[in-house]
Amino acid sequence: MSLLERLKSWIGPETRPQETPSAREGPPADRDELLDALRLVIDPELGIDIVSMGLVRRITIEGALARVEMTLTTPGCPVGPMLVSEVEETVRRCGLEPDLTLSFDPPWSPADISPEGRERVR
Amino acid sequence: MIASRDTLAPPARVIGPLLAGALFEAVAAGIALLPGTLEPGWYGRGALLRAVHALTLGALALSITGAGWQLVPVIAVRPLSARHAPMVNASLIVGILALLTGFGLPGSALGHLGAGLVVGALALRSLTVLPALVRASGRRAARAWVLGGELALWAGLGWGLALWSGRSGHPLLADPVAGIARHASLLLVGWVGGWIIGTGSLLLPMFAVAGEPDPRWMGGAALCWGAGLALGLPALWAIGLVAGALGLVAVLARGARRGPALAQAGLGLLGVLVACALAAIPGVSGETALTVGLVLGAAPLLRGVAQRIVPFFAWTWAHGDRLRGAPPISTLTQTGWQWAQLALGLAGGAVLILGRLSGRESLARLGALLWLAAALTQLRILTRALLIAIRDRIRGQALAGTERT
Repeated sequence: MSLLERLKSWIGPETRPQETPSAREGPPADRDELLDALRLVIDPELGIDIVSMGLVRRITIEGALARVEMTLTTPGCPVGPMLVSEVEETVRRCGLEPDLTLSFDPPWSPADISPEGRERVR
Repeated sequence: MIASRDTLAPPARVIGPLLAGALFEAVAAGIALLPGTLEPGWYGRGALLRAVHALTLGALALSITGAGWQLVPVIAVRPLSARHAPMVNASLIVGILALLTGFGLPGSALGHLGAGLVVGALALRSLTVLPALVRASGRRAARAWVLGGELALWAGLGWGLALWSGRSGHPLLADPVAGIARHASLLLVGWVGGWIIGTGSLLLPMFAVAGEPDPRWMGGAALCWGAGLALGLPALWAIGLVAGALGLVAVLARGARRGPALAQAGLGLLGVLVACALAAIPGVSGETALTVGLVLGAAPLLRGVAQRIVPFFAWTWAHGDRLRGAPPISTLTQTGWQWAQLALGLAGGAVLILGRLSGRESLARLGALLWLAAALTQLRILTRALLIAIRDRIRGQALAGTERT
């Protein structure tokens, strides 16, 4: 096997599932349903969902608009843009239009993680 | 303020210096292996001087610089324009290489070039990070440590330049040995210590999933430490540094998460504590305290931090375009190798110090060999994480290309 073939073999194919969950059918989600949907957004560093992490601070549904106030572990969090984009996508899949705001006051701390979340981190 | 992709430091600016730092640590260990390097005696000799500076400038300074591009915006809670970061990083690496070579050739142009590049790079770095830190509000304790560290950096470099002038045939100091002590304490206890405690008070709680240390405790410790350095009182800075390190050890102890990287950082903090204690004990030489502080303190602590930071940034770079379905960050690390690296580093450091204390050079060189193995293992750990991230990114981009066609 040539070096290039070995390299291609090592790289291999993409293994991630490529399909995204389909958009919701029927009426838009309510607050609790949206919160449940956001539990599927996982922070890659800690491996727990952003709701258990305490990153979702407030959700308000006004008709078809979902106002979500959230925070990040730090303002400079490298995965921040990814999480924000994932939250917006999740809100849209729930049949709602996202209005996302980020707040860092007060700053997030590990004390904001729920007890169940802390158990999963161990 | 949201951290957008434009304001974040791209991974290379952070990862590059951390990788280079790991390489320089291996160089330091390699030099320590050379016959005669570890004979009992002061650090003023050529080979040992190179080994010490490969570790301090090469490994520690580069690690602090690289991590700083990411951490300064976090401490300051404001973006940092890091457009000079590539120039700073490159100048530092080239300058350190030239300086290490120049240590064996007093008065050489290469050494002068190296010193100039290192000082210039650090100046540009300070001019970039200081305004952000000074203008920030909040996180006072962490900023106090880091700002104090930056002041100590320039005071320490001043002593360093005076010593360099002496080596080049133009002595400026009546007592070079005292000058070495001031140079070492300001840079290691001051700059390195300030950055470790200051940034550690933010990083370690996140890594360990624990509450942040008491800001009043950390602020009081910073005051002691800073006053001790400014007044040249080792007992005072030792108390401050011990208090700061204890604050961080407490964070790790109550953290929800464990693992080899955090264990290594914790052991490094304990090494700093031991070094401070040794520095305060009459009759214990400054050499011993310095060696413990470097080899069993600062070095393992920064290795543990690099083992968290490098895979994290590499993973973010590889999967930044799509979070859903991305493999966990743990796919970039191998716990077994991390534990092995920790054990080798600990054993190597301990045996090396034992050898120097007992005057047995062969024992010290055995320690250096184990330390070299630890440094090479660290390189393997970091490089593997990068290679896997590169592979994942290629896979993702190849698939994206297929979808577009």
